[in-house]
Amino acid sequence: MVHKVLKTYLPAISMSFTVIILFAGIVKWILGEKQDVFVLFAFEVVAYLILTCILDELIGRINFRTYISHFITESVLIYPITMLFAIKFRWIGVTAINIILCSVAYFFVMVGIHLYFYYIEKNNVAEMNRLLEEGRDKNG
Amino acid sequence: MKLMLQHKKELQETEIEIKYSEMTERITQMIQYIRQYDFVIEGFKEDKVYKIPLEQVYYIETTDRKTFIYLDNDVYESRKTIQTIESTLEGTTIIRIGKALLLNISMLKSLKPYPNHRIKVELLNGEHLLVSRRYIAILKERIRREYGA
Repeated sequence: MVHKVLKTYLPAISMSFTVIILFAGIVKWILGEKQDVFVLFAFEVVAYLILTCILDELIGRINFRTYISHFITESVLIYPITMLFAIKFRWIGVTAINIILCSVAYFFVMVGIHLYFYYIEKNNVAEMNRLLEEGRDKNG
Repeated sequence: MKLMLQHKKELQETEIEIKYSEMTERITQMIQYIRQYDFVIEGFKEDKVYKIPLEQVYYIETTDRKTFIYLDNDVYESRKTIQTIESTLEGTTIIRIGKALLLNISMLKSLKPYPNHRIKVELLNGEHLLVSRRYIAILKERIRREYGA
């Protein structure tokens, strides 16, 4: 059940949520509410996520040998961009406590994302190993 | 399934005959496996040309614009590009697992998750290879097709 939630429901909810928010934003934009805080925030977040995906793709070209080195490199490189977006677009106020809280939230989200993919990949590989094992047993 | 073996001295070439009432996925897989025994790859070593049976090939890799065919304890050079070899061997147990890497999935021993959304595979001879993230889905699908129920 946990696997189904993580592999099916969580991505489905995330994708649906993104599409709904973007659609609502686009509708508001078309209706002329271009200065609506919600619309602007939705588009800023989408731009931020696209940028992080591009960075992830570029970082992915480095040959990391450990999970921790991949995690640290990605977290360190995406952190300044996150803070830049957060401050520039006023997602947070420029105070020490806000920056600390945002950094802590960013750290936990990055840990969560990396653990999520580690779990999915571990299960993926376990399934392939099981198929190989069964195939070998079947063929003697 | 009945397995009948006949020793016929007069035969020039080994013959395999499959009789079936209905073509199933498993029979198709078995035919694919048998067909790979028909494939040979041309490999060069010290200016001599060798015909390498596909079932002996572990993996094929391009390094510094040269293509190498890796066997259990031997390496041959191929004069063909990895793309040409890949298209020639389409439908066999050879699949692409990297930009310049082809793997014979019959030689797979086990798999391990590896950083950066990749998979480390161990071959039957103990060697390790990395599967790039864009080829993982293809590998999984092939394993499922070859070994799944």
